[in-house]
Amino acid sequence: MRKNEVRQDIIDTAARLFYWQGYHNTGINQIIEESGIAKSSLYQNFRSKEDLLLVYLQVSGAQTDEALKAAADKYKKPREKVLGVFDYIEELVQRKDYFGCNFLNIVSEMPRNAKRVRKQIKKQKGGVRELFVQILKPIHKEQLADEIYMLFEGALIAQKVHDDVWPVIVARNIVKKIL
Amino acid sequence: MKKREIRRDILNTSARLFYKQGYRNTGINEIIEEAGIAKTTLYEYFRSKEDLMLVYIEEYGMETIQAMIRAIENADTPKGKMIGVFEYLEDQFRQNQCYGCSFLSMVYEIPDEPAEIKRKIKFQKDIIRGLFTEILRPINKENIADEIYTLLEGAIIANKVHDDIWPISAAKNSIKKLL
Repeated sequence: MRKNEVRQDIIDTAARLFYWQGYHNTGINQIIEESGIAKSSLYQNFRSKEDLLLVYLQVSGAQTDEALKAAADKYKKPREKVLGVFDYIEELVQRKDYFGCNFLNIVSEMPRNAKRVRKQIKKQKGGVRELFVQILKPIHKEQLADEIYMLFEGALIAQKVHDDVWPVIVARNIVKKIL
Repeated sequence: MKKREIRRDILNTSARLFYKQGYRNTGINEIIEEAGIAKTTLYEYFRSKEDLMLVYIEEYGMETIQAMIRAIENADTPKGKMIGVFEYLEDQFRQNQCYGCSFLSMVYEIPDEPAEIKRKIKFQKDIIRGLFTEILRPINKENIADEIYTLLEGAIIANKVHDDIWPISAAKNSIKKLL
């Protein structure tokens, strides 16, 4: 296997395990075993499990950014763009392979002092806030971006607790009222 | 020490440790050590760490809800009461008492957790939804109880992600518009 492929294999395996069983439940040995590589190969590519976690957050972060942007870009008007994002998450949370927001999953597991990881997640979520700011700027409603972002988070977290789509629908309703 | 006090001591110590460092990271031995009791004493009161966790969720959940109710009982209007809930949270955040909802952390930390734990957490959250419904009934706005609940969850998780107070302000702004 080429070096890049090995690295990618490790990332894919870690991503799957971190997402489905959580970070703390996933041991380095399981990642090695399931990606079928030698322990030394893992450490050639990543210094630690936390390093691997950060790469996972960056990779899935870029995918999420792209998906959210694509959902907004389907529409022309700012209001429709925002609702488009909520339509996207409504569809997303009902997929069979969905098990909560990757970033909220991880942040919820992290103790307060996990600085590097928390910083990366904050950066990711900061990007979502900024997406709403950019959408709303042309109609001078960017001051609503934080409220909409809060609804976005509320929908994702409550969906996980209640294991149901209703929080997303409820959040979308509020967006319609305040925007 | 009286029996009740011992039980309370064990619960308080576990609560503090679960909250600070997570459920998985907290061992029975650490609880025993910090509570200054013998292992056999702990097992007189609780069958297992899981049992301890279930009682923790139940009792702390009720305490949180009662504190919330006390914080809003002096407000005269339903709107004042709803805003009061968020002001109560704001106080908690400012006193740095808050690092996310401890129950949510549990949902994420133990993805393969016994269904019983998840069910208990959902039950706590449903009590809060019910409380909001009761508050809003006199003004015939119980249909937006879930909207406000979604804002509440969003505010708590966004506070954790961003380590800042602005999510509460954003949530309060939305509520003022909804009510």
